[in-house]
Amino acid sequence: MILKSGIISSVELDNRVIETLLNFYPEEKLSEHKVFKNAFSKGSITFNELKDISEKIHLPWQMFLLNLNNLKKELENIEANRLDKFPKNLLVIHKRKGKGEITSKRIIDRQIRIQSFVTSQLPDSFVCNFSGSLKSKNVQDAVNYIINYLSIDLEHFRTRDSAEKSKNYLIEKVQSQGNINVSQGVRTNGILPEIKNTFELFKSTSGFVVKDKKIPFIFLPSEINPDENHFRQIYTLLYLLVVIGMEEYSHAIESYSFKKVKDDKKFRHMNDIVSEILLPRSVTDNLATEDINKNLVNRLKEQYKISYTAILFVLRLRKKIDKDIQESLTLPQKEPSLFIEVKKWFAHPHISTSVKKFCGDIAFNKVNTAIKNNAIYPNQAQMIIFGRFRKDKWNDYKTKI
Amino acid sequence: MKIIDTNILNKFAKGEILLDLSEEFYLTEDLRNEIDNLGSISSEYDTKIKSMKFSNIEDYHYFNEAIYLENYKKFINKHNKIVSFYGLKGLADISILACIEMMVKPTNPTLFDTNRSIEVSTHDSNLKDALKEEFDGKITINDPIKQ
Repeated sequence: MILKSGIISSVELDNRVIETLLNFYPEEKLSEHKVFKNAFSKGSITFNELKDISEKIHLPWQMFLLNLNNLKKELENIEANRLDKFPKNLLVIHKRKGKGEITSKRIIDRQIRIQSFVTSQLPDSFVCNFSGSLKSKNVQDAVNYIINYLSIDLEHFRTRDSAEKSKNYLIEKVQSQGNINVSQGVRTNGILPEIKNTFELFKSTSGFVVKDKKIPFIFLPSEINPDENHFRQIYTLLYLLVVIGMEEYSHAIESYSFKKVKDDKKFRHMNDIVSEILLPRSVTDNLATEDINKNLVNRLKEQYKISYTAILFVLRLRKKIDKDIQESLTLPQKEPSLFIEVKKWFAHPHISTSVKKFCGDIAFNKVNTAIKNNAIYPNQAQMIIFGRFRKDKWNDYKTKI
Repeated sequence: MKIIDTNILNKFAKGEILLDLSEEFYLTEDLRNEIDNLGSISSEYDTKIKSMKFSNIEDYHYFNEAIYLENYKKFINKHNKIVSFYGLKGLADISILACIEMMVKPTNPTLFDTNRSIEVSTHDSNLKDALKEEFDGKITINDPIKQ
Protein backbone atom coordinates (compact mmCIF):
# COMPACT_ATOMS: atom_id res chain seq x y z
CA MET A 1 0.00 0.00 0.00
CA ILE A 2 1.27 3.46 -0.91
CA LEU A 3 1.37 6.22 1.68
CA LYS A 4 0.47 9.49 0.01
CA SER A 5 1.05 13.10 0.90
CA GLY A 6 -2.14 14.53 -0.56
CA ILE A 7 -2.12 13.15 -4.08
CA ILE A 8 1.64 12.61 -4.21
CA SER A 9 2.96 9.09 -3.60
CA SER A 10 5.47 9.06 -0.78
CA VAL A 11 6.52 5.63 0.33
CA GLU A 12 5.28 2.06 0.22
CA LEU A 13 3.91 0.57 3.41
CA ASP A 14 4.20 -3.16 3.87
CA ASN A 15 0.69 -4.65 3.75
CA ARG A 16 1.83 -7.42 6.08
CA VAL A 17 2.75 -4.74 8.65
CA ILE A 18 -0.65 -3.11 8.35
CA GLU A 19 -2.46 -6.43 8.64
CA THR A 20 -0.34 -7.53 11.61
CA LEU A 21 -0.97 -4.26 13.42
CA LEU A 22 -4.68 -4.31 12.73
CA ASN A 23 -4.92 -7.85 14.02
CA PHE A 24 -2.93 -7.22 17.19
CA TYR A 25 -6.23 -6.72 19.03
CA PRO A 26 -8.22 -9.22 16.97
CA GLU A 27 -11.43 -8.77 18.93
CA GLU A 28 -11.54 -5.13 17.78
CA LYS A 29 -11.69 -6.14 14.10
CA LEU A 30 -9.78 -3.01 13.12
CA SER A 31 -9.17 -4.23 9.58
CA GLU A 32 -12.92 -3.99 8.98
CA HIS A 33 -12.80 -0.24 9.51
CA LYS A 34 -13.93 1.50 6.32
CA VAL A 35 -10.78 3.64 6.12
CA PHE A 36 -8.62 0.53 5.93
CA LYS A 37 -11.06 -1.31 3.66
CA ASN A 38 -10.93 1.62 1.24
CA ALA A 39 -7.16 1.87 1.54
CA PHE A 40 -6.69 -1.81 0.74
CA SER A 41 -9.03 -1.64 -2.22
CA LYS A 42 -7.38 1.54 -3.57
CA GLY A 43 -3.88 0.40 -2.68
CA SER A 44 -3.15 3.71 -0.97
CA ILE A 45 -3.84 5.84 2.08
CA THR A 46 -3.10 9.51 2.62
CA PHE A 47 -0.98 10.67 5.53
CA ASN A 48 -3.90 12.66 6.94
CA GLU A 49 -6.19 9.63 6.76
CA LEU A 50 -3.56 7.51 8.49
CA LYS A 51 -3.07 10.06 11.27
CA ASP A 52 -6.82 10.48 11.83
CA ILE A 53 -7.60 6.79 11.96
CA SER A 54 -4.55 6.05 14.11
CA GLU A 55 -5.82 8.50 16.68
CA LYS A 56 -9.24 6.86 16.71
CA ILE A 57 -7.89 3.34 17.14
CA HIS A 58 -5.19 4.39 19.60
CA LEU A 59 -2.21 3.16 17.59
CA PRO A 60 0.64 5.57 16.75
CA TRP A 61 0.71 6.22 12.98
CA GLN A 62 4.49 5.77 13.07
CA MET A 63 4.05 2.04 13.75
CA PHE A 64 2.59 1.61 10.26
CA LEU A 65 5.94 2.73 8.84
CA LEU A 66 7.92 -0.04 10.50
CA ASN A 67 9.20 -2.96 8.51
CA LEU A 68 7.86 -6.37 9.44
CA ASN A 69 10.86 -7.42 11.54
CA ASN A 70 10.88 -4.23 13.59
CA LEU A 71 7.14 -4.39 14.08
CA LYS A 72 7.40 -7.97 15.27
CA LYS A 73 10.06 -6.92 17.79
CA GLU A 74 7.77 -4.16 19.10
CA LEU A 75 4.82 -6.51 19.40
CA GLU A 76 6.99 -9.17 21.03
CA ASN A 77 7.99 -6.60 23.66
CA ILE A 78 4.35 -5.89 24.40
CA GLU A 79 3.61 -9.60 24.53
CA ALA A 80 6.58 -10.13 26.87
CA ASN A 81 5.21 -7.43 29.18
CA ARG A 82 1.87 -9.21 29.21
CA LEU A 83 3.46 -12.53 30.03
CA ASP A 84 5.47 -10.90 32.79
CA LYS A 85 2.25 -9.71 34.38
CA PHE A 86 -0.19 -12.46 33.52
CA PRO A 87 0.27 -16.22 33.46
CA LYS A 88 -0.05 -17.51 29.91
CA ASN A 89 -3.17 -19.51 30.72
CA LEU A 90 -4.94 -16.39 31.89
CA LEU A 91 -4.26 -14.50 28.69
CA VAL A 92 -5.69 -17.36 26.71
CA ILE A 93 -8.70 -18.21 28.79
CA HIS A 94 -9.93 -14.75 29.57
CA LYS A 95 -13.34 -15.83 28.42
CA ARG A 96 -16.59 -15.77 30.22
CA LYS A 97 -18.81 -18.71 29.59
CA GLY A 98 -21.71 -18.01 27.32
CA LYS A 99 -20.48 -14.60 26.23
CA GLY A 100 -17.94 -15.75 23.71
CA GLU A 101 -15.82 -12.66 23.97
CA ILE A 102 -12.55 -12.04 25.66
CA THR A 103 -11.18 -9.63 28.17
CA SER A 104 -9.63 -6.89 26.15
CA LYS A 105 -5.89 -7.13 25.74
CA ARG A 106 -6.08 -3.47 24.85
CA ILE A 107 -7.21 -2.72 28.40
CA ILE A 108 -4.60 -5.11 29.78
CA ASP A 109 -1.84 -3.35 27.80
CA ARG A 110 -3.05 0.07 28.90
CA GLN A 111 -3.04 -1.00 32.54
CA ILE A 112 0.44 -2.51 32.20
CA ARG A 113 1.72 0.73 30.69
CA ILE A 114 0.24 2.78 33.53
CA GLN A 115 1.67 0.37 36.08
CA SER A 116 5.13 0.44 34.47
CA PHE A 117 5.20 4.19 34.85
CA VAL A 118 4.05 4.08 38.49
CA THR A 119 6.64 1.49 39.47
CA SER A 120 9.38 3.42 37.65
CA GLN A 121 8.68 6.29 40.04
CA LEU A 122 9.28 4.15 43.13
CA PRO A 123 12.57 2.97 44.64
CA ASP A 124 13.63 -0.63 43.94
CA SER A 125 13.27 -1.42 47.63
CA PHE A 126 9.56 -0.53 47.61
CA VAL A 127 7.34 -3.58 48.07
CA CYS A 128 3.65 -4.18 48.55
CA ASN A 129 3.55 -5.94 51.91
CA PHE A 130 0.03 -7.21 51.35
CA SER A 131 1.16 -9.48 48.48
CA GLY A 132 1.35 -13.05 49.72
CA SER A 133 0.33 -12.07 53.25
CA LEU A 134 -2.74 -14.35 53.25
CA LYS A 135 -0.83 -17.49 52.39
CA SER A 136 -1.26 -20.21 55.03
CA LYS A 137 -3.87 -18.17 56.91
CA ASN A 138 -7.18 -19.84 57.66
CA VAL A 139 -10.39 -18.10 56.63
CA GLN A 140 -11.00 -16.23 59.88
CA ASP A 141 -7.36 -15.15 60.26
CA ALA A 142 -7.36 -13.94 56.67
CA VAL A 143 -10.56 -11.97 57.21
CA ASN A 144 -9.20 -10.34 60.38
CA TYR A 145 -5.92 -9.57 58.66
CA ILE A 146 -7.60 -7.88 55.68
CA ILE A 147 -9.89 -5.81 57.88
CA ASN A 148 -7.01 -4.68 60.11
CA TYR A 149 -4.52 -4.15 57.30
CA LEU A 150 -6.89 -1.97 55.32
CA SER A 151 -8.42 -0.35 58.44
CA ILE A 152 -11.89 -1.25 57.18
CA ASP A 153 -14.74 -0.14 59.39
CA LEU A 154 -17.31 -2.78 58.43
CA GLU A 155 -20.14 -0.89 60.11
CA HIS A 156 -19.29 2.18 58.07
CA PHE A 157 -19.03 0.08 54.89
CA ARG A 158 -22.43 -1.55 55.46
CA THR A 159 -24.30 1.60 56.40
CA ARG A 160 -23.49 3.65 53.31
CA ASP A 161 -26.76 4.54 51.65
CA SER A 162 -25.87 2.85 48.37
CA ALA A 163 -23.76 -0.05 47.18
CA GLU A 164 -21.81 2.41 45.03
CA LYS A 165 -20.75 4.40 48.10
CA SER A 166 -19.80 1.21 49.92
CA LYS A 167 -17.74 0.16 46.91
CA ASN A 168 -16.02 3.54 46.78
CA TYR A 169 -15.24 3.31 50.50
CA LEU A 170 -13.56 -0.07 49.94
CA ILE A 171 -11.67 1.18 46.89
CA GLU A 172 -10.35 4.11 48.91
CA LYS A 173 -9.15 1.77 51.68
CA VAL A 174 -7.51 -0.70 49.29
CA GLN A 175 -5.57 2.13 47.67
CA SER A 176 -4.67 4.28 50.67
CA GLN A 177 -3.99 1.52 53.21
CA GLY A 178 -3.10 -1.40 50.98
CA ASN A 179 -0.96 0.43 48.42
CA ILE A 180 -2.84 -1.46 45.74
CA ASN A 181 -4.04 0.58 42.79
CA VAL A 182 -7.68 0.16 41.78
CA SER A 183 -8.48 1.16 38.22
CA GLN A 184 -11.88 0.94 36.61
CA GLY A 185 -13.40 0.74 33.16
CA VAL A 186 -14.82 4.00 31.87
CA ARG A 187 -16.89 4.82 28.82
CA THR A 188 -16.49 8.56 28.84
CA ASN A 189 -14.13 11.04 27.20
CA GLY A 190 -12.77 8.58 24.63
CA ILE A 191 -10.51 6.84 27.12
CA LEU A 192 -11.05 3.65 25.12
CA PRO A 193 -10.70 3.51 21.32
CA GLU A 194 -13.49 4.91 19.20
CA ILE A 195 -14.25 1.85 17.17
CA LYS A 196 -17.48 0.33 15.97
CA ASN A 197 -19.35 -1.36 18.80
CA THR A 198 -16.73 -0.27 21.33
CA PHE A 199 -18.89 -0.98 24.32
CA GLU A 200 -20.44 -4.12 22.93
CA LEU A 201 -16.86 -5.32 22.62
CA PHE A 202 -15.67 -4.40 26.09
CA LYS A 203 -18.82 -5.30 27.98
CA SER A 204 -17.66 -8.83 28.76
CA THR A 205 -14.45 -7.64 30.34
CA SER A 206 -13.84 -9.24 33.70
CA GLY A 207 -11.99 -7.90 36.70
CA PHE A 208 -8.34 -8.82 36.80
CA VAL A 209 -5.09 -8.26 38.66
CA VAL A 210 -1.91 -6.88 37.11
CA LYS A 211 0.70 -8.34 39.42
CA ASP A 212 3.65 -6.33 40.62
CA LYS A 213 5.92 -6.51 43.63
CA LYS A 214 5.67 -2.77 44.22
CA ILE A 215 2.11 -1.75 43.26
CA PRO A 216 -0.29 -4.48 42.16
CA PHE A 217 -3.24 -3.24 40.13
CA ILE A 218 -6.82 -4.37 40.49
CA PHE A 219 -9.01 -3.62 37.48
CA LEU A 220 -12.78 -3.49 37.89
CA PRO A 221 -14.86 -3.42 34.69
CA SER A 222 -17.27 -0.92 36.24
CA GLU A 223 -18.88 1.23 33.54
CA ILE A 224 -17.89 -0.94 30.60
CA ASN A 225 -19.63 -4.07 31.86
CA PRO A 226 -23.33 -3.37 32.48
CA ASP A 227 -23.57 -6.82 34.03
CA GLU A 228 -21.33 -5.71 36.90
CA ASN A 229 -23.56 -3.83 39.29
CA HIS A 230 -22.00 -2.26 42.37
CA PHE A 231 -22.79 -5.25 44.57
CA ARG A 232 -20.95 -7.54 42.19
CA GLN A 233 -18.04 -5.13 41.92
CA ILE A 234 -17.65 -5.15 45.69
CA TYR A 235 -17.39 -8.92 45.56
CA THR A 236 -14.95 -8.79 42.63
CA LEU A 237 -12.79 -6.20 44.38
CA LEU A 238 -12.47 -8.31 47.51
CA TYR A 239 -11.91 -11.47 45.50
CA LEU A 240 -9.06 -9.87 43.54
CA LEU A 241 -7.64 -8.56 46.80
CA VAL A 242 -7.53 -12.16 48.04
CA VAL A 243 -5.85 -13.19 44.77
CA ILE A 244 -3.05 -10.72 45.61
CA GLY A 245 -2.94 -11.77 49.26
CA MET A 246 -2.62 -15.42 48.22
CA GLU A 247 -0.42 -14.61 45.21
CA GLU A 248 -2.66 -16.90 43.20
CA TYR A 249 -2.21 -14.99 39.97
CA SER A 250 -2.86 -17.92 37.69
CA HIS A 251 -6.28 -18.32 39.22
CA ALA A 252 -9.03 -17.56 36.73
CA ILE A 253 -12.75 -17.90 37.13
CA GLU A 254 -14.05 -19.40 33.94
CA SER A 255 -17.34 -20.39 35.42
CA TYR A 256 -18.77 -19.64 38.81
CA SER A 257 -20.62 -22.90 39.32
CA PHE A 258 -21.59 -24.23 42.71
CA LYS A 259 -19.82 -27.51 41.99
CA LYS A 260 -16.61 -25.72 41.02
CA VAL A 261 -16.54 -23.64 44.20
CA LYS A 262 -17.49 -26.59 46.37
CA ASP A 263 -14.96 -29.01 44.90
CA ASP A 264 -11.99 -26.77 44.17
CA LYS A 265 -10.20 -26.41 47.51
CA LYS A 266 -8.33 -23.23 46.63
CA PHE A 267 -11.32 -21.62 44.94
CA ARG A 268 -13.46 -22.52 47.95
CA HIS A 269 -10.95 -21.06 50.39
CA MET A 270 -10.68 -17.77 48.50
CA ASN A 271 -14.43 -17.59 48.08
CA ASP A 272 -14.95 -18.30 51.80
CA ILE A 273 -12.69 -15.39 52.78
CA VAL A 274 -14.70 -12.95 50.67
CA SER A 275 -18.03 -14.39 51.83
CA GLU A 276 -16.97 -14.15 55.46
CA ILE A 277 -16.09 -10.47 55.10
CA LEU A 278 -19.35 -9.62 53.38
CA LEU A 279 -21.79 -11.99 55.05
CA PRO A 280 -20.28 -13.45 58.24
CA ARG A 281 -21.27 -16.91 59.35
CA SER A 282 -22.51 -15.39 62.58
CA VAL A 283 -25.30 -13.81 60.52
CA THR A 284 -26.32 -16.93 58.62
CA ASP A 285 -25.76 -19.55 61.35
CA ASN A 286 -28.95 -18.61 63.13
CA LEU A 287 -31.11 -18.56 60.03
CA ALA A 288 -33.72 -21.27 59.79
CA THR A 289 -34.17 -22.67 56.29
CA GLU A 290 -37.91 -22.04 56.37
CA ASP A 291 -37.31 -18.33 57.07
CA ILE A 292 -35.20 -17.86 53.95
CA ASN A 293 -37.27 -16.14 51.28
CA LYS A 294 -36.86 -13.41 48.70
CA ASN A 295 -37.61 -10.64 51.20
CA LEU A 296 -34.96 -11.87 53.58
CA VAL A 297 -32.37 -12.19 50.82
CA ASN A 298 -33.16 -8.68 49.63
CA ARG A 299 -32.84 -7.37 53.19
CA LEU A 300 -29.45 -9.08 53.61
CA LYS A 301 -28.38 -7.67 50.27
CA GLU A 302 -29.06 -4.08 51.33
CA GLN A 303 -27.74 -4.58 54.85
CA TYR A 304 -24.48 -6.31 53.96
CA LYS A 305 -23.86 -4.98 50.46
CA ILE A 306 -23.57 -8.39 48.85
CA SER A 307 -25.42 -9.33 45.69
CA TYR A 308 -28.66 -11.30 45.77
CA THR A 309 -27.15 -14.14 43.73
CA ALA A 310 -24.05 -14.28 45.93
CA ILE A 311 -26.20 -14.56 49.06
CA LEU A 312 -28.00 -17.60 47.65
CA PHE A 313 -24.66 -19.07 46.68
CA VAL A 314 -23.22 -18.55 50.18
CA LEU A 315 -26.33 -19.90 51.87
CA ARG A 316 -26.11 -23.05 49.78
CA LEU A 317 -22.40 -23.48 50.51
CA ARG A 318 -23.22 -23.13 54.19
CA LYS A 319 -25.93 -25.78 53.76
CA LYS A 320 -28.71 -23.40 54.73
CA ILE A 321 -30.55 -24.03 51.48
CA ASP A 322 -30.39 -26.74 48.85
CA LYS A 323 -30.30 -26.51 45.08
CA ASP A 324 -34.08 -26.51 44.74
CA ILE A 325 -34.55 -23.62 47.14
CA GLN A 326 -31.68 -21.73 45.52
CA GLU A 327 -33.34 -22.12 42.14
CA SER A 328 -36.77 -21.19 43.42
CA LEU A 329 -35.39 -17.99 44.94
CA THR A 330 -33.24 -17.10 41.96
CA LEU A 331 -34.54 -14.03 40.16
CA PRO A 332 -34.99 -14.19 36.40
CA GLN A 333 -31.85 -12.96 34.63
CA LYS A 334 -32.34 -9.65 32.91
CA GLU A 335 -30.30 -8.90 29.84
CA PRO A 336 -28.32 -5.81 30.80
CA SER A 337 -29.29 -2.90 28.64
CA LEU A 338 -26.46 -1.01 27.06
CA PHE A 339 -28.89 1.78 26.26
CA ILE A 340 -29.71 2.43 29.89
CA GLU A 341 -26.05 2.36 30.76
CA VAL A 342 -25.19 4.78 28.00
CA LYS A 343 -27.77 7.21 29.34
CA LYS A 344 -26.43 6.76 32.82
CA TRP A 345 -22.87 7.55 31.80
CA PHE A 346 -23.89 10.34 29.50
CA ALA A 347 -22.97 12.79 32.21
CA HIS A 348 -19.84 14.03 30.42
CA PRO A 349 -17.52 14.18 33.41
CA HIS A 350 -14.40 16.28 33.23
CA ILE A 351 -11.53 14.49 31.49
CA SER A 352 -9.61 14.28 34.76
CA THR A 353 -12.50 12.35 36.36
CA SER A 354 -12.42 9.75 33.58
CA VAL A 355 -8.63 9.51 33.73
CA LYS A 356 -8.61 9.16 37.52
CA LYS A 357 -11.10 6.32 37.35
CA PHE A 358 -9.34 4.49 34.53
CA CYS A 359 -5.87 4.92 36.03
CA GLY A 360 -6.71 4.53 39.72
CA ASP A 361 -5.84 7.00 42.47
CA ILE A 362 -2.24 5.92 43.03
CA ALA A 363 -1.37 6.06 39.34
CA PHE A 364 -3.32 9.30 38.83
CA ASN A 365 -1.35 11.01 41.60
CA LYS A 366 2.00 9.68 40.37
CA VAL A 367 1.43 10.85 36.80
CA ASN A 368 0.20 14.25 37.95
CA THR A 369 3.21 14.73 40.21
CA ALA A 370 5.49 13.89 37.29
CA ILE A 371 3.65 16.37 35.04
CA LYS A 372 3.88 19.10 37.68
CA ASN A 373 7.61 18.49 38.11
CA ASN A 374 8.21 18.33 34.35
CA ALA A 375 9.58 14.86 34.94
CA ILE A 376 7.61 13.51 31.98
CA TYR A 377 7.03 14.89 28.51
CA PRO A 378 3.43 15.75 27.63
CA ASN A 379 3.24 13.17 24.86
CA GLN A 380 4.45 10.46 27.22
CA ALA A 381 1.98 11.56 29.89
CA GLN A 382 -0.81 11.54 27.30
CA MET A 383 0.16 8.06 26.15
CA ILE A 384 -0.12 6.84 29.74
CA ILE A 385 -3.37 8.54 30.69
CA PHE A 386 -5.21 8.78 27.34
CA GLY A 387 -3.54 5.95 25.39
CA ARG A 388 -2.76 8.46 22.60
CA PHE A 389 -2.15 12.16 21.93
CA ARG A 390 -5.11 14.29 22.94
CA LYS A 391 -4.14 17.90 22.39
CA ASP A 392 -7.80 18.86 22.72
CA LYS A 393 -8.15 17.25 26.16
CA TRP A 394 -4.62 17.84 27.43
CA ASN A 395 -5.08 21.53 28.24
CA ASP A 396 -8.39 20.77 29.95
CA TYR A 397 -6.75 18.00 31.91
CA LYS A 398 -3.95 20.19 33.19
CA THR A 399 -6.33 22.75 34.62
CA LYS A 400 -7.48 20.20 37.18
CA ILE A 401 -4.17 18.86 38.40
CA MET B 1 18.62 26.82 10.61
CA LYS B 2 18.43 25.74 14.23
CA ILE B 3 16.55 22.73 15.49
CA ILE B 4 16.14 22.34 19.23
CA ASP B 5 15.49 19.09 21.07
CA THR B 6 13.02 18.83 23.93
CA ASN B 7 15.66 18.11 26.56
CA ILE B 8 17.36 21.45 25.88
CA LEU B 9 14.10 23.35 25.91
CA ASN B 10 13.11 21.73 29.17
CA LYS B 11 16.40 22.74 30.84
CA PHE B 12 16.01 26.27 29.51
CA ALA B 13 12.43 26.56 30.77
CA LYS B 14 13.54 25.33 34.19
CA GLY B 15 16.18 28.07 34.23
CA GLU B 16 19.08 25.62 34.22
CA ILE B 17 20.68 26.84 30.99
CA LEU B 18 20.65 30.02 28.90
CA LEU B 19 19.71 30.26 25.22
CA ASP B 20 20.01 33.11 22.78
CA LEU B 21 16.43 34.33 22.55
CA SER B 22 17.05 36.19 19.32
CA GLU B 23 17.42 32.83 17.57
CA GLU B 24 14.54 31.22 15.73
CA PHE B 25 14.11 27.50 16.34
CA TYR B 26 12.45 25.06 13.95
CA LEU B 27 10.20 22.32 15.25
CA THR B 28 8.85 19.16 13.67
CA GLU B 29 5.37 17.90 14.53
CA ASP B 30 6.79 15.18 16.78
CA LEU B 31 8.88 17.78 18.59
CA ARG B 32 5.82 19.96 19.04
CA ASN B 33 3.98 16.99 20.52
CA GLU B 34 6.72 16.76 23.12
CA ILE B 35 7.04 20.48 23.62
CA ASP B 36 3.48 21.77 23.32
CA ASN B 37 2.67 23.19 26.70
CA LEU B 38 5.61 21.31 28.10
CA GLY B 39 4.72 20.76 31.71
CA SER B 40 3.07 24.13 31.62
CA ILE B 41 2.16 24.04 35.26
CA SER B 42 4.12 27.01 36.48
CA SER B 43 3.59 30.38 34.89
CA GLU B 44 7.33 31.05 35.06
CA TYR B 45 7.92 27.94 32.98
CA ASP B 46 5.29 29.00 30.45
CA THR B 47 6.69 32.50 30.22
CA LYS B 48 10.13 31.16 29.39
CA ILE B 49 8.78 28.92 26.65
CA LYS B 50 6.72 31.75 25.21
CA SER B 51 9.78 34.01 25.14
CA MET B 52 11.26 31.82 22.41
CA LYS B 53 10.71 32.10 18.68
CA PHE B 54 9.49 28.89 17.08
CA SER B 55 8.61 28.00 13.51
CA ASN B 56 7.08 24.84 12.16
CA ILE B 57 9.38 23.05 9.77
CA GLU B 58 6.33 22.01 7.74
CA ASP B 59 5.61 25.66 6.96
CA TYR B 60 9.02 26.18 5.42
CA HIS B 61 8.96 26.53 1.63
CA TYR B 62 11.23 23.60 0.90
CA PHE B 63 9.38 21.16 3.15
CA ASN B 64 8.18 18.21 1.13
CA GLU B 65 5.94 15.92 3.13
CA ALA B 66 6.25 13.03 0.68
CA ILE B 67 10.04 13.03 1.00
CA TYR B 68 9.84 13.62 4.74
CA LEU B 69 7.67 10.49 5.17
CA GLU B 70 10.00 8.46 2.99
CA ASN B 71 12.92 9.55 5.20
CA TYR B 72 10.88 8.94 8.32
CA LYS B 73 10.26 5.35 7.27
CA LYS B 74 13.95 4.86 6.50
CA PHE B 75 15.15 6.16 9.86
CA ILE B 76 12.48 4.66 12.09
CA ASN B 77 13.59 1.27 10.84
CA LYS B 78 17.33 1.96 10.76
CA HIS B 79 17.51 3.65 14.17
CA ASN B 80 14.79 1.58 15.80
CA LYS B 81 16.81 1.28 18.99
CA ILE B 82 16.25 4.93 19.85
CA VAL B 83 12.49 4.55 19.55
CA SER B 84 10.18 3.11 22.16
CA PHE B 85 6.55 2.83 21.18
CA TYR B 86 5.79 1.57 24.65
CA GLY B 87 6.81 4.84 26.27
CA LEU B 88 6.42 6.82 23.06
CA LYS B 89 10.03 7.95 23.19
CA GLY B 90 12.41 8.81 20.38
CA LEU B 91 9.85 9.74 17.72
CA ALA B 92 10.98 13.37 17.80
CA ASP B 93 14.53 12.14 17.19
CA ILE B 94 13.37 10.30 14.08
CA SER B 95 11.54 13.38 12.85
CA ILE B 96 14.73 15.45 13.26
CA LEU B 97 16.72 12.90 11.26
CA ALA B 98 14.03 12.80 8.55
CA CYS B 99 13.97 16.58 8.23
CA ILE B 100 17.73 16.97 8.09
CA GLU B 101 17.96 14.26 5.45
CA MET B 102 15.50 16.28 3.39
CA MET B 103 17.61 19.42 3.84
CA VAL B 104 21.05 17.99 3.16
CA LYS B 105 19.95 15.76 0.31
CA PRO B 106 17.22 17.76 -1.35
CA THR B 107 15.59 16.02 -4.29
CA ASN B 108 15.24 19.32 -6.06
CA PRO B 109 18.29 21.42 -5.14
CA THR B 110 16.78 24.58 -6.59
CA LEU B 111 14.25 24.62 -3.78
CA PHE B 112 16.77 24.61 -1.01
CA ASP B 113 19.92 26.50 -0.25
CA THR B 114 22.22 23.59 0.53
CA ASN B 115 24.83 26.02 1.80
CA ARG B 116 22.62 27.03 4.66
CA SER B 117 24.05 25.69 7.94
CA ILE B 118 22.03 23.36 10.10
CA GLU B 119 22.52 23.20 13.84
CA VAL B 120 20.83 20.74 16.18
CA SER B 121 20.82 21.46 19.90
CA THR B 122 20.44 18.29 21.92
CA HIS B 123 21.71 16.56 25.04
CA ASP B 124 20.46 13.15 23.92
CA SER B 125 23.46 10.90 23.29
CA ASN B 126 21.44 8.48 21.15
CA LEU B 127 20.33 11.29 18.88
CA LYS B 128 23.85 12.74 18.76
CA ASP B 129 25.22 9.34 17.71
CA ALA B 130 22.57 8.94 15.01
CA LEU B 131 23.19 12.48 13.72
CA LYS B 132 26.94 11.84 13.54
CA GLU B 133 26.40 8.54 11.77
CA GLU B 134 24.09 10.08 9.17
CA PHE B 135 25.31 13.63 8.70
CA ASP B 136 28.85 13.87 10.07
CA GLY B 137 30.51 17.04 8.76
CA LYS B 138 27.30 18.34 7.20
CA ILE B 139 25.64 19.73 10.30
CA THR B 140 26.64 21.16 13.69
CA ILE B 141 25.64 19.30 16.82
CA ASN B 142 25.42 21.57 19.82
CA ASP B 143 24.99 20.50 23.45
CA PRO B 144 24.38 23.60 25.61
CA ILE B 145 24.11 21.45 28.74
CA LYS B 146 27.67 20.17 28.35
CA GLN B 147 29.08 23.62 27.71
